[in-house]
Amino acid sequence: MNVNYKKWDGLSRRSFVKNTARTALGVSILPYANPNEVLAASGGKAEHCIFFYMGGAMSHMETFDPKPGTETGGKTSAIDTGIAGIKFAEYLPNLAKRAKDIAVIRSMTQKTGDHQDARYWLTTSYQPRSTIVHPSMGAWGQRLQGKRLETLPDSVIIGNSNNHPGPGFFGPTYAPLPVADPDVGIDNIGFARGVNEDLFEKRLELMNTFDAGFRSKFQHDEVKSYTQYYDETLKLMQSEDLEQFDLSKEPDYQKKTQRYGNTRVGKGAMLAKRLIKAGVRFVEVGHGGWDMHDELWDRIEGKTNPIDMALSALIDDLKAEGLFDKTVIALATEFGRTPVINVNGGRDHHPRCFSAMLAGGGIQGGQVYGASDEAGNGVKENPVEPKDFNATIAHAMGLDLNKVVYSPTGRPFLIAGHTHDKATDSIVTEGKPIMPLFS
Amino acid sequence: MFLSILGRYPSSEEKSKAQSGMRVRDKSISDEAAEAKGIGSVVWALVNTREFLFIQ
Repeated sequence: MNVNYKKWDGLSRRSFVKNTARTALGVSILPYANPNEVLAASGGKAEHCIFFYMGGAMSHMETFDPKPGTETGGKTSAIDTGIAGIKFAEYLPNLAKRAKDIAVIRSMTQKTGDHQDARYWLTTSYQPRSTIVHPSMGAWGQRLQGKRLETLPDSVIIGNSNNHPGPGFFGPTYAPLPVADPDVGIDNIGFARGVNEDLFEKRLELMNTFDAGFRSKFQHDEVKSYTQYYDETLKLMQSEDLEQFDLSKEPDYQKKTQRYGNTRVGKGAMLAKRLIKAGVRFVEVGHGGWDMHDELWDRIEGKTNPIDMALSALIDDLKAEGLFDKTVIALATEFGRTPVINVNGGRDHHPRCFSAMLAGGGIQGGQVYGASDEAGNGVKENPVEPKDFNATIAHAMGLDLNKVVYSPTGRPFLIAGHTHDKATDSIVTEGKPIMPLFS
Repeated sequence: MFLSILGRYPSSEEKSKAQSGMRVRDKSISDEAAEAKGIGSVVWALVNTREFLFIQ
């Protein structure tokens, strides 16, 4: 079925149709349930994850690992958090007030300074390969624990989902639902102009007639899987659950907008909260534009203010609604920025050492794990790779780190990367959860 | 239409279904608009088949 050499010729008919279907028909999207795959949870008790992805590489020195008074620290000063010995950069005043709920990792490290590859590594725990696409965390959650809800998807990506590995080799039934703009909700979910329910029904009937011969002749998994999520999409189109994607239905929407911030990431955080409250397992919220090679201090607050407000309001609301302990909030970026300030007043790509943040879902707040050296240049203790970060999230959510899933070509893969254990001659997880973060 | 979208001729059953699908009765719009809507239905249905999506 997969004749790969045909895909080498630029834009294939399949990818053309896939993209057209996504933009014009809005159907590239829904995963489905296989009840047999629902496994009992082990480990942590968290049921949801909201993953904030800081696209473009967030500077650790201006956020969670300030170095005031040093040559590399720049103009950034540090503020107290109320926890002895822990200071955040001045640009995160509201998160600093909530430090007792937040665990900061100051010893993140990556193997590449290429945005695309590093993001892939962060999202999948695997190095990009030309022969396979690895599944992202949201897809793994659905694969290991089964789909949670009948009509709503298991995972959602809010913001830019271009180049996201999505379901990888798990296939379209595990695909996260993309929501480009939280204010708009799901794109293209209504009927086309001039089409009403009767005409739509008639068109579906025509389509099913024309397609009957093909579907009975080619009973391949890919065809079935597409048909299944096509049906799921139709179900969601006609479902009341669609409301969950409509932010204007959120109680006190105007007031909340002031707290979360009237920004993409603020609205994204509010929508993410709404979705996990409705039962969605994994929501990724994108916040790009961190690639500040020049004039960093003119631009930094434009990026830090929105996340400071969005995450603070999210932590407050999850607590108020009793969801904080059930929800892992993660904030991560593909790599950091150079401690050395360049001639243009900016910082460049720095995969050696950077920061990330975790809160909720059983994570013990008020602590810092790992440390960078004096200049913020390298990891001084307890290095954490993306696969370890992902393993920590997976552990918090009770996802089995050692559950092997085979690709269509029969190769074994694990949620947080894999390695061969010589002692037992078995495939085991390569990423290790950071146990000191759990209380 | 079958030839340009799926690259094959319709079966006789498909042909009669398509013909009935192209007839849209709607008093509120002009005959031309109704005809366009009917043709649109058949094109939409053909483009949404798995056959169109999966045959490379």
